[in-house]
Amino acid sequence: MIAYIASSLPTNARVLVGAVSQLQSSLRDAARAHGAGAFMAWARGVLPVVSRPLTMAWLLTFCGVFLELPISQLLYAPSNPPASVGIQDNLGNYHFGIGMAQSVLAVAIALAVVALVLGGYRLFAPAGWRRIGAATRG
Amino acid sequence: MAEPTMSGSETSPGSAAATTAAQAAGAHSIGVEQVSKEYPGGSVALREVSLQVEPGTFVVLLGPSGSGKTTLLRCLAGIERVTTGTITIGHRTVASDRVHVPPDQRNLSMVFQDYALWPHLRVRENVAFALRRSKLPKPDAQARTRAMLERVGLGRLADRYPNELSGGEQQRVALARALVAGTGLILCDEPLSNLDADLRERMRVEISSLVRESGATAVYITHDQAEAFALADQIGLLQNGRLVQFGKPEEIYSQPATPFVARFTGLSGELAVRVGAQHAAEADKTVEIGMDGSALLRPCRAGTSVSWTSGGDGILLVRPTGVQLAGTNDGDHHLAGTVADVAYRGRGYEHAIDISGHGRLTGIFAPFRVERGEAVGLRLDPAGCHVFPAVAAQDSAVAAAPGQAAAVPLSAVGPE
Repeated sequence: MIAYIASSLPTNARVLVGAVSQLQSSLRDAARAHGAGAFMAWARGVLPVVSRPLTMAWLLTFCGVFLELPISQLLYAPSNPPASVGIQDNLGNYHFGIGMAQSVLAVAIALAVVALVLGGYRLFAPAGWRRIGAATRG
Repeated sequence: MAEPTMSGSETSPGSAAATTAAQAAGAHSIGVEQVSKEYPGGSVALREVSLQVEPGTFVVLLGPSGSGKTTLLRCLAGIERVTTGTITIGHRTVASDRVHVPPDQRNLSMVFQDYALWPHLRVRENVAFALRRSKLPKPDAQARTRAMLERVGLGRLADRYPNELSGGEQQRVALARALVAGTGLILCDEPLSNLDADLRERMRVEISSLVRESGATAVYITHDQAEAFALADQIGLLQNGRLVQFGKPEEIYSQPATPFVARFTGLSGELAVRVGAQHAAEADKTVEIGMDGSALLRPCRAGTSVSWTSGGDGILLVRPTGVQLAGTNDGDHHLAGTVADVAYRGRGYEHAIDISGHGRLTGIFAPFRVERGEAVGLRLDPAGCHVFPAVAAQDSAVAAAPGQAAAVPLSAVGPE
C-alpha cells in the first residue's frame, strides 16, 4: 500500500495542485463568517469546487495501480497475486490465450470503472458541482 | 502634538435614540484594545490599535495599501488571530492572546472584495446559506431569502448561478447574503473596488441605505477617501499598522491630526511657510504664517493642532476648499500665481496654479474659466489650511503614497 501511495502521489499532486492553487481562500472564509464550522466550510464551500479534479485524480490512481506491474511484482503476497502479476505469469508461461483474455478483461474492468465513476458524477453530483469552470459573464 | 482621540463614544452617529434603535436591532458595539498583529517572519501588520464603536455606527477604516486595514477587519471577523490585545463584540471578548472565538460563533457577516460567492450554488442558495445558523423552518428561510433578493433588486435572478451575473449583480448577492441573517455586525472588505466608477457610486448608495436600514454596526474598509467620506459615520485612518486618527468625517477633514491624514484625505498642495509665535490667548487653534520673499501679499492665518510657542518652519497643507481664485486687483488675495492648467468638471472648472518659487496648487475650483498663462490671485481660508512642523511633515510624506500629496481633484474629495 505504501509503495502504491508513493508511486501515485507525485502524479496526483501535480493534477490537483492546479485546481487547489486557484481556489479563492475567501470561499472558505465566507463560509466561516456566515456561520459554518471548519468542516462544514470545507465540505460546503470548498469540496464542491474541487470535486471534479478529485474524481479525476482518483481515477488516475485507480487505473495506474490496477494495472501496475513493477511494484506489484516486487512486493505482492504469493497467496494473493494482483491482476497484473497474474497476467504476466500466464504470458511468461506461454499461456497466451488465458493471458490475453485476462488482459482484455482487466482493461475492460478499468474502462468500466472509469465509465461508472464519470457517469455517476454526471448523473448524481448536484447540478452546481457540474457547472464549475463554466464561462463567467463580464 | 496633541494625540488624536480614538474613542467613538463621544461621536456617535446620531442621537441617543439612534443608538437605542440600533441596540434594539441587535447591533453590536465593538471594542478594540491595544491590538497588535505580527505574522510569522516578523512582519507587523497592526501596532497597538485601539478604538471603540457604538452600536449601529457605520465605521470606515481608511488607509493606503499595507496600512493594516484588511488585517484589522480579518481580526474582527476571526479569520486572523491577534498577537496581543483584546477585541470585544457586544459584551463578549472574542479575541485576545488567550481567547479566539471562531468566525462562525461571532454572529457577524461579511462582504468580500472578490464577492466570494460559491460558484456551485444558485443565487438564492448563496443567500440562504447565511440563514443555516438561524435554524429557521425551510419556508421561513425561503421567504426571507426571497424578500432580501427582492430588496436588492435580484428577485428575478434567484435561480441563476454567480457566473451568469455581472460584477454589480454579484456584489448585490454578496450584500444580500450579508444582510439576510440580520447579524449585529457587518464587515465589508473593499466591496466596491472591482466595480467601474458609475456602478461603484450606485452600489455605494445601496450599501449605505441597506446597511443603515438593517440597524447593524458596520465596519467597511477602503483606500478611497471620497468613498469613506460619503459612507462613514466615523472614519479610522490607518498608517503603517497604527490608527492615526478616529473621528467623524468632518473632524478628519477639518482637523487632521497629522500631515499624513491631511495628505491622504485630499490636498491642493503644500507650501513651505514660517510660523509666528503663538500667543497663549490664541484659543482658536490658528497661527499666523509667513512665506519667504514676497509671495505672501498680506497676513494670513492657518489652522494647527500643534503648539507653536516660539514659532518655526512649517509646511502649509492646503485643502481644495481652503483656496479660492480672486482677481489680482481685488486687494484681498494672499498669493499671486499663474494658471498652469484648467480642466472642465461639468459644474465648473478646476485650475492648477503655479506660485512662483513655491510650487503648484491644484484642484482649485471656480464656476468660471481662467485661461492658461493668466495671472490670478488666491485667497486662503484658515479653515481649509493646516500648518504642521516641517520635520513632521517630511516624515509623514515618506509614509504617504506617491501622488496623494497633491493633485487631488476637488470632485474626488468628500466634503466641500
